[in-house]
Amino acid sequence: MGEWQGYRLEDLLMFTPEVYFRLFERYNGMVWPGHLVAFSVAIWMFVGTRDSGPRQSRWIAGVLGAVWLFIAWAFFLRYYAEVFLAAPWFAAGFALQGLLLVVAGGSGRLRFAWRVDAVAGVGITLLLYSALGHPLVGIFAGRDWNGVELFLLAPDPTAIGTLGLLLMSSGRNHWVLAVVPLLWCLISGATSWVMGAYSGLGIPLAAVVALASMACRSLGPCR
Amino acid sequence: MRIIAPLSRRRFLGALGWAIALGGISSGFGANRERPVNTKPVPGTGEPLAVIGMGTWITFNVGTDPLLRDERTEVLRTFFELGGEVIDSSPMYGSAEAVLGYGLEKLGYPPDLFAATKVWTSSGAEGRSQVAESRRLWGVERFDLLQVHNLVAWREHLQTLFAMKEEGRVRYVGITTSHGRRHKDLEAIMRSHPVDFVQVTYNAVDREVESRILPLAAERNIAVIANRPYRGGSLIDKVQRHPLPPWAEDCGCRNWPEFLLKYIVSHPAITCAIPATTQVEHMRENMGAATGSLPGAAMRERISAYVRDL
Ligand SMILES: NC(=O)c1ccc[n+]([C@@H]2O[C@H](COP(=O)([O-])OP(=O)(O)OC[C@H]3O[C@@H](n4cnc5c(N)ncnc54)[C@H](OP(=O)(O)O)[C@@H]3O)[C@@H](O)[C@H]2O)c1
Repeated sequence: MGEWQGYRLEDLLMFTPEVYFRLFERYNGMVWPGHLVAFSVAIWMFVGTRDSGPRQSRWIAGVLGAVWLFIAWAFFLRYYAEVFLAAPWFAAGFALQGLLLVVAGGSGRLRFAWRVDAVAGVGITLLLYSALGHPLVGIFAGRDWNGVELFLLAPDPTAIGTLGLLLMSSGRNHWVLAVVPLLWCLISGATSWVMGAYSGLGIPLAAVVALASMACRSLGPCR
Repeated sequence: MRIIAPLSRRRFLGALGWAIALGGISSGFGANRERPVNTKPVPGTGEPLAVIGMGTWITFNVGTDPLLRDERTEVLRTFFELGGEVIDSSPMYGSAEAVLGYGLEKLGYPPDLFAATKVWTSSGAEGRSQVAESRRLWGVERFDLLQVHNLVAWREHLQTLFAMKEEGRVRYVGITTSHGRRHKDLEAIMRSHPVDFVQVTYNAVDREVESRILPLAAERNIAVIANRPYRGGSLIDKVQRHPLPPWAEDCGCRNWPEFLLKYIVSHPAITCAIPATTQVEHMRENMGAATGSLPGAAMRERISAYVRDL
């Protein structure tokens, strides 16, 4: 890592916004018609989390974990690594998160429900934002439809949606499961900032909202 | 299968003799060139090089995207058509070396190519294998210039590169820095090691190198490549919000890119500047700075003051 000494944040951005956004266009081309599957699964998750029993919660966490593993390989290793030297590290983070979700889901520690507390309400909002708001913000900011970033396929909305789901889980915090999504929102927000793509600022904002909600729940007032 | 580019640059052998005598800027025609470009000799050998080269940081890192690879190939084509020679890259630049290799192969390895890349690894032992990988990616048999990137593990790498030069595996050895970093170390290396090239940041506002590095380079016959001529784009973006001063024509500048680049390459110790671009039109503008007259000392001061005050 000695090669990187003395670099500033903006020095680390090694591609143009055009290249970054084209990655999603090519990635979407590769995963199509996976979008239909992703969208159906997102609806199933949303409806299922209304009040999921232990069995359904296990499935939701397992599928979510598999999605993180898929993104680690399909997006980070196959596409992002072509233009960003740090992408294999991101892939490792996403793979770790995938495994953590599978394990936590399998052990029955996650139980999703809409109306546990106020924090769960924030969770639903984040989940909806990740599935609908985030892709639309990109489109309104001038991104091509082909490059749309969808929940369960692209890293940013998946991280936001995962934070939402975690806030909806069992009325208690799952800090260990939140670390990677929070970190990713920070990294991705910084990337958007340096690229001057301010439409991406919803990503760190979502992380701040999630973090504040978890803190509020931990400290008592939002229980 | 990859085609391996011819070993030597066509221009090199023919130019060697007469260029030594010139010792300054000259104009010359190359094959396929639309017009003459100004060249300057590499101090150690007299080999003339076009005063405008090309960088590849960010701009050529497009991965395997076929659309963008073809677009960058057009930028390369324009570069060579207009007399460009020096291309600078590095293993640090992601897929840039692979994209260059793609473009060079498509263009049939233009004989004027002066291939310059870097060694960038904190492990001294990995130097040779990294160069071998760069050669594979570019598709060239050997590099014209190998530079130690940002002084990383420079002792070990310089040793390797000088050995490679002895073996005929590279023609010139250099060392780079940027953003005004580690000039003291660079100066010490320039005094203690027989480097052929140094690469530093130099433009109308970043002028630190004028005080010590450039005079030292002239004194020790070291060629100088100016990187970040547009401050990574922020300088050209800033000046282009203003009209070009009417006296720009007096120093042979038709537009802002020429105004900024001619300031750089008119310094007697600078061999060439290496602006990076993703756009054919910008490449045309940049290569324009390799043609026509250059500002003298007084005009250079005027340019710098004008740009600084914008
Ligand atoms: N330590 C080192 O060894 C080191 C450090 C820094 C740089 N370098 C080398 O130096 C090269 C140049 O530096 P750099 O790439 O950092 O920055 P630069 O050449 O100063 O600026 C590049 C930017 O200028 C814009 N540009 C280029 N020509 C233009 C024109 N005619 N009109 C308007 N905009 C124009 C480009 O945008 P468009 O794509 O839109 O044209 C690009 O964003 C690098 O590519 C690299 O090879 C080496």
